[in-house]
Amino acid sequence: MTLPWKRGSGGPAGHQPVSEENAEFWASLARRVGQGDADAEAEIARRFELRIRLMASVCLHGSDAAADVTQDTLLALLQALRAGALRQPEKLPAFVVGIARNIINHHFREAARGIEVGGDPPGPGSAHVPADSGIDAERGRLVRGALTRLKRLDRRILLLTLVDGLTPREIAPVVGLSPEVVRTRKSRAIRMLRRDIAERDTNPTAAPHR
Amino acid sequence: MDCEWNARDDIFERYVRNALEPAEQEAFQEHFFTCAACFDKVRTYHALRAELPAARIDAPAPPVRLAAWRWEVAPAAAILVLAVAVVFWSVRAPFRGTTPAAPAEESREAPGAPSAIAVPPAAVDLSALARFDPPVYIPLSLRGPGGAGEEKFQAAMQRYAGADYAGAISGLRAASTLEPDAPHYVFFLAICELLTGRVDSAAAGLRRTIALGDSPYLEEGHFYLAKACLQQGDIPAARSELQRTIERRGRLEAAARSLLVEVDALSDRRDGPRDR
Repeated sequence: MTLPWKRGSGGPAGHQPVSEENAEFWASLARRVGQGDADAEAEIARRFELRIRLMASVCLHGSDAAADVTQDTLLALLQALRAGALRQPEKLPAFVVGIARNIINHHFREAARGIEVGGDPPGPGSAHVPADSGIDAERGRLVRGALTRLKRLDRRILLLTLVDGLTPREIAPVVGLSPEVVRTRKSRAIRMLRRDIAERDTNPTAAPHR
Repeated sequence: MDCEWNARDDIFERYVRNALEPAEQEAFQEHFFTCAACFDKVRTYHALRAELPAARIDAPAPPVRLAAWRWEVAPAAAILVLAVAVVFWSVRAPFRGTTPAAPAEESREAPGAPSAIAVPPAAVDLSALARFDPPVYIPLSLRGPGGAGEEKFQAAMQRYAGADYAGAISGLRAASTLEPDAPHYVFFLAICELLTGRVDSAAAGLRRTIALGDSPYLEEGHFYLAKACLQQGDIPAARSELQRTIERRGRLEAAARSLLVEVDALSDRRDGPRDR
């Protein structure tokens, strides 16, 4: 089975390649799947499912199709590993990203073809703000709670930043503050929010791995 | 923490808005697929983006500090208003001719052809009547600087031109936030919302376009609001908006007449003929 994926062209400064220790871990995991180890397949799903869903949700602007993309990616990944199609098993995470990217691109091509032939517009979930915060329900609940403990003005600054895509300079006249104050308030709000979540999170991120 | 990405909040902000450059996005995705700290932060930012719109409801009105700035910006504001007025009136005619595409219904009949109006399609349903071709946007070359939201508007409309309506919403919303009374920002935001199934929000945006008064988008506002009402299943409201489109005697009059006949025919099939 050949999967049409290609490696990315490399990232900007700050990109950290998988370490040697991690490389061995990934290579072992990929080999175990190739040998038909069901536990290894479950481990793959546990480590990557939410990552793929978040990636798909971002790339598809919150479309409900993110769930289908996730399933298709995991299926294609396991089939490829079972067939021994991964030539550099130590680069398993990049392989997963590549498959997900191809499936997302395929989704875009299909959607474009649907519009060309007069198909229906995308469904209700395809607005740019994820309609289904249930993609990561647990984190959604924690964030919802943490937001209620932020000041209204800070919530508004975060809203204008993350949803409306405004810069501090653009937000400043909207909220009647200087850009520097907006920037400071935004950073402080994010810090407080993350601290709040960390204190209340009884089930920290699955697959802590570096 | 030994991760160089994790300290860069702007990366996470832009990632969840799908606004990173492709190479940067690719590299970041590969990174957070292995980095627990960055994955955790992506989760938080993604959830924030999903949950924040609900927080918009109780957001307070922005504090106004007129006294601090009004005299500094008054001359610039006056020039801007004058420039916008000149540009508005000088481009009005070409804009009306190029921006909104002829809706699909327009091709079904020649304007004022009663025989075509008298025979509605047999198998048409409400969802078919609610469907429409996205209005075509042709960028204008304006002299002088645009408004505060113009850059975001233009970037969003590039996505719109590529049929990425969902992706255009963020930029259009930003432009509308910066200039809430710019009818083209409000109109195309509403159109994108309508195309991506956010019908209630789209209807509100189209009503706002209409409420902004005489603009190149007034006729289109009524017409596409009728489409939104049809998507909502509100036939009386759709009829009312189509009547208003017709009353304007503009480019969409024939399309509105045709659609109105089809809406009435559908309504008759559902509820039986009635006096109108």
